[in-house]
Amino acid sequence: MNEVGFFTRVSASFVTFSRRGFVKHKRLLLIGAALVVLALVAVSLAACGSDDTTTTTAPAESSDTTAPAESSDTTTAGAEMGDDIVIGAINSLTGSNVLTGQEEKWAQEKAVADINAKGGIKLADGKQHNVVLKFADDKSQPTEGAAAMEKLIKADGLKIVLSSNITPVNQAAAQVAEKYQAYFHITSSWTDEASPDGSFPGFIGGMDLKWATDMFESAGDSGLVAIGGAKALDPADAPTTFAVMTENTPDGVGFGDATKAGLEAQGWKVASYEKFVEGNKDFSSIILKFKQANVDAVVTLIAPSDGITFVKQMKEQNWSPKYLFGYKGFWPVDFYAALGDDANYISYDGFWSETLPFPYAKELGQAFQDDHDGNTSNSVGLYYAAAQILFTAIERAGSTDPGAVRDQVFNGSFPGTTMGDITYNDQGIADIPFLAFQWAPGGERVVLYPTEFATGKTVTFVPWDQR
Amino acid sequence: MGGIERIESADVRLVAGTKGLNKRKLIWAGLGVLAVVFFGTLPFYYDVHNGQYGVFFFNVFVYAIVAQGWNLIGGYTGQISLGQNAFFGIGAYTMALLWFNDVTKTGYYFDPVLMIASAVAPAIVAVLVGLPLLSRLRGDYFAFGTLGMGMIVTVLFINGGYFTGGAEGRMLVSKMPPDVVFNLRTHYWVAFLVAVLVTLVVYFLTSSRVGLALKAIREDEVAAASHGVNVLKYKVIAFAVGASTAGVAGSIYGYYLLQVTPSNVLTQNWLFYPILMVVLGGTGTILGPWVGAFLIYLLSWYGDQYFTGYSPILSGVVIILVMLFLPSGIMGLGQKVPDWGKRVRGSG
Repeated sequence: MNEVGFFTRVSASFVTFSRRGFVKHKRLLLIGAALVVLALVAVSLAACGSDDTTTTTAPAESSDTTAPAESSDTTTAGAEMGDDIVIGAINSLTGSNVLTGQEEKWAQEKAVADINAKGGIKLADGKQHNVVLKFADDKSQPTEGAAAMEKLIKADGLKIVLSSNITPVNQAAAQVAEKYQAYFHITSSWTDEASPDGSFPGFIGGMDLKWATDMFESAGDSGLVAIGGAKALDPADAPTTFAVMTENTPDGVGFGDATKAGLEAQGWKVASYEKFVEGNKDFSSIILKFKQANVDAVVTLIAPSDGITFVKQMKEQNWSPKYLFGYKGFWPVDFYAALGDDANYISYDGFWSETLPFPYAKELGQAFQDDHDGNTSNSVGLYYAAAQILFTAIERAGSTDPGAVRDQVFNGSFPGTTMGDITYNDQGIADIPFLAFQWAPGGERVVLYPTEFATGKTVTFVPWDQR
Repeated sequence: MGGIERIESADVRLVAGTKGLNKRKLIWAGLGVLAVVFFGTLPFYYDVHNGQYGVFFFNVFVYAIVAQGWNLIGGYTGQISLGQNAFFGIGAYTMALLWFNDVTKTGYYFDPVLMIASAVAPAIVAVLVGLPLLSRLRGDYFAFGTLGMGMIVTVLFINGGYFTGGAEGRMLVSKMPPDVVFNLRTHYWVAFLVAVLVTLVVYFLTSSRVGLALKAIREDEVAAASHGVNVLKYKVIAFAVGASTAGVAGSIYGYYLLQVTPSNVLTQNWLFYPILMVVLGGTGTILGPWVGAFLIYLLSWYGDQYFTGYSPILSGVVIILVMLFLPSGIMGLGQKVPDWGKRVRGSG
């Protein structure tokens, strides 16, 4: 509310100033006007003079990455080099989703650096082509996601685009891609189809997209991960009464409705379904409701800062459910750093782990740690795999024609990615299983679910007064 | 009054009006006509569907419509409304829900009936909300009241269940007539036409007795009331007209994206950007919202391309510079330059 108050006052001041004017500062006024005009002229000139140029990003540097192939006429293997393949990439470079956006960007740049180090992509012209990415900022907003897609297609002339990682942003961008027949390679967006009676419109799977594919999980099934983690508890400690708690945002309510329905369909009792305003500073009334309803397991979608507040207030009220599982906000390293040992035994979702028995998973995880002061990630493998799949599809298509590339992904199989073997259906959807994790003492991430990939068993949330 | 007297009276008004058309106004009117002709005919010699400037100007027009509405409330009437995103969303949802449920049964793509409904619905909400808010709250308190209204509207649409489509909103692609192919040219023209119409409405409104009352309220509510101005009535009129313009813009954007969700049309982008545009262009001026919309979107568009990830800094620096040195906005420059010229000539 402070920001809003500040903005209100500033707005009011602007209007007041605008009405009265600053008669005393005519000299400064002219200097300012000149600066603004110069800035605008510079921007316009840069824009006009660069219509045919393409900005590219530098490939990621990492300790175990070979330097990318330089633009030369031939590769070290003797193959002739063609022009670079430029791929668009929408990413949350600013805004509330920037932390996840940075991980996605790192993974995409790593994938590009690795493919270029291997000589690039071979097309039907017989030449090898290096890959470069052109990023566009979605500012963590769906409307900006649509604008980013417009810019990539029209200003940069790109018709193959990697996605951001938020469902509403990717939905908006996909609508634009559809209009201009640009292939949108989506990952990390709910895959749900519409319900038969039309009461639930679905997410990416419900949009009947012809120019987009998606590799992720359905929101309806995402709750299974939390259940999977609960099932891995000692049967004597298994919870019986669940609560669903979610932020009152489009993403949150979509998740909450689907999770509640999923839990009930599995035969679990959901005694409480609570929505809260994002940025909430007082969860005491919600905690009290949970106590009164004898809730012993909580599944929540919550931002990291809200999640930290919630756990601290749980401790203050000495309330300890047997099982606490959080989506979105419990997995960042910052969450563990803020809570320290109080984060132990808290469970959360993830898409990937370096412990998975898939090609290059261990090396990718190590590269991430080397670049991030030893911190681990539970998502970069997904984004890396998405890029791997796109590169393979381009090579199979033999061209960068968006329709040809898209056709390779629809119904396509892509073995040996960092997410394992991935297969897309005839709707362009590849469902991947989520993983359940738990923070262990010392900040270690333990994989709980799926069972075949588990690195440990779920530990019951140790009550605050017994720690 | 007899017929002759009426004619004489009309002649007097005509002469007075002709005198009002001074050289400066004629220049502005000429430039305005040129701009209308240029932008109106642009699709004939430029591919607005595939070219980047088509979508650029489409967005400028949509933002200019919302900004012009806020300008009427904030710039001319002095009431800081922080609920424009709610009116934008109500307009978009009115169009989407009526179209989705095929209420008009016209089967049109750009249904004028739906667009008019998108203007009327927010205006009704503005009157219902405006009466209690504007009669009891002023200044920051009114701003907070409208901000609260925006939050309430957002939450209502998110939790609206099947009626609003809930968090997922309404997908409109399936409602497109089968023989219609999306072409941005149509959207460009509609947005441009509405932007021009809204500008004319605001111009004539502010040039009339209503405008005089609005400006009087802006300068001093108590003084205006003491001179017989019905303060509440005129504030509600400005609030309702500003809301309806935001609503029409919402329907135009909804037709463009074909997906109306709370995160698309109720986002605070539709609140803060238009305010910035008005302030940057010049509050309480007719062309200010246009200039501001063009400059802010230009900075955003090219800033994202050449300073990817850092463009908000660029926009911020320009806004700070303008606020420091051009507190009356860009349009204020037009008034300052003649003063400067006179001073230079005087010193020479």
